[in-house]
Amino acid sequence: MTDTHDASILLQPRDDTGEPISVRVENMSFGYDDKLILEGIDLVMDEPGLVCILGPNGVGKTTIVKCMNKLLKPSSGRVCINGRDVQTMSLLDVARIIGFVPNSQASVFSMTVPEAILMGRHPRAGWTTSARDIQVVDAAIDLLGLQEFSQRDIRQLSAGQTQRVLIARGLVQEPDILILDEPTSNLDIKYQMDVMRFLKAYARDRRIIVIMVCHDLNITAAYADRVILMFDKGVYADGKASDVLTPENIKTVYNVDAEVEDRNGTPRIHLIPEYD
Amino acid sequence: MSNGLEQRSDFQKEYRRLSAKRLGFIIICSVACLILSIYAATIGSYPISLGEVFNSILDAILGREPSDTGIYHIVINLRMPAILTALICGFGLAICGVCMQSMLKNPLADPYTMGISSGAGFGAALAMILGIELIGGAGTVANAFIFSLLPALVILFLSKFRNATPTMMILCGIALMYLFNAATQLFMLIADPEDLSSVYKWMIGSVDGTDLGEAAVVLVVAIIGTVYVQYMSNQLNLMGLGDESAKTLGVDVERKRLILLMVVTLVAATIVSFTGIIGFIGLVAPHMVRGIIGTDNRYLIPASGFFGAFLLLLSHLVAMTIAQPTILPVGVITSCIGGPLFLFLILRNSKEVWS
Repeated sequence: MTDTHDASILLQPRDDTGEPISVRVENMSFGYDDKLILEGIDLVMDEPGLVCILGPNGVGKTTIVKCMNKLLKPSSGRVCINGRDVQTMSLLDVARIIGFVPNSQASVFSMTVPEAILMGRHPRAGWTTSARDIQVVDAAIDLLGLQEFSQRDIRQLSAGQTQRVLIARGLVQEPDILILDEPTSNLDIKYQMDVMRFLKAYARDRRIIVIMVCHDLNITAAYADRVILMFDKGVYADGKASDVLTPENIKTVYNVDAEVEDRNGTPRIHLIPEYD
Repeated sequence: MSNGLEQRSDFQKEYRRLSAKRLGFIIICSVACLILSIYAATIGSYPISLGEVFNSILDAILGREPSDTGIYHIVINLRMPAILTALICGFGLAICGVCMQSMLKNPLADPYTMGISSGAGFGAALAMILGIELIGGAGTVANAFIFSLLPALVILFLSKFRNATPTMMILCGIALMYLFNAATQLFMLIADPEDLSSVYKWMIGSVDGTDLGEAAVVLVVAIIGTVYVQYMSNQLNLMGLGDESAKTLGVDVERKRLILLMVVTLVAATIVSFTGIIGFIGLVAPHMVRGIIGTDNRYLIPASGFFGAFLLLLSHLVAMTIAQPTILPVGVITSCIGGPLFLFLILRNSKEVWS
């Protein structure tokens, strides 16, 4: 217990000397077989901050982010990150820019929590594990409050604990762009708020883009710097939470009645239940 | 989010401790191999002392004129080829097993279930019973080698049309295994008794039919394979996380998996075509080592290799001594030890290495 860990190692601002950070989706469509899921999408993200993607189930939220990091190949159009077409880049090049936090992961192998987080260093590390790699892992463990699980096998963790490990793995990748696919779906509300608050500050302090697929309207409204609301194979509304999350938009997209109240610029959404 | 919890993870310390333990295990296994191989040279119908074995080995290494040519001949020319073959093949088979299990995320993957051994058996039967040699004069070995590559080639061919998923690879291997076995059995039905007996012996697998030149060929292939698999160990670790996670961490999973399959098949095919089918080393050695040092392939690969080498040499010793003066084929012993050992591992496995 001699050395204390300095979590700030993970919060250093991104090196700005290279290509400016950006995600550009240009006239992109995606479909399986004949069925189009996304059609003619144009999006530009070139400012640091927390970008949340909202929309009903099956609208293609996860699909659009997976096209950004080459997990899926668009049927037409293209995606550029930091000025380069993703499809022309190797997976390793992409992994050096984009970190991805999946919604869940079932591991076949037994490994401890720190070992699982260490995997995130692969795109940045050499063949052996350096002292800095381990420092970074320790910092991520601290940031996500995973100290008490440091000896635990990841397969024994609950869904929520696994999500925190996966977020930590995304952080140690030290990405320019961090994409998270519903990272808080299994977390209790305290951790949901903590993770959102952390990600907002993380994007701001490191001056990177954090893109998140979300489902909770209120938590999104409270923390997102930008909200992208998706509907019917495309982007329905895009902008500040107060402009996007209006009763009309919610009615159209989710087919649910809602009242929206403004609290110091942050919309509060009250869903109006219907009873039979 | 850090709320000043006092309990520190101290991964750094833990990591050092783990690395030391893993390195220690590898060193212990390699030293055990060395000691066992010197001891093994004293075992046989003609009694030779440890000192004489030492002298003979030193004579051979330094190129000195041996003081007792009889003993020198027995140690170096008769016993050492089998001992070295056992070590090299045990090492190679275990590495193939680790790599296949890790990349396919399947605890049952090994040269046998991937159809490599059955292909070799089919090729050998073809040469021994029907007298068909694909390469004239090279006989059984060449046949076995070429046919044991077939499953991998089929998978490579199929991957042109579809993504080669782990499940598809294993199902392919098993399908070809049945096909090869059926064809081999058909040949055996029509074979005359003498051929039948030699095919049968070949199928059980033994390490004492090889000379130093053949052992050297296997050694070279095993070394190339080991270096490549070891180089890929980080990426093998990532493959264990699932294809999607591995990709987002920069591993071109589908391509790398095919390349690894080719390399591993080449190693396994070389071994099997010289020794016949030696079961269970590729399956049991990696599982036992995983239980001891964990699943990090950077350490698991060499550790399993040395452990497999030790296991096969031990089996060879048992095969030589258990039914003296008859020498049993080592394949019988590995299966006899491997089966119960495997059952024991499954039952004992409180901290499951596989979910």
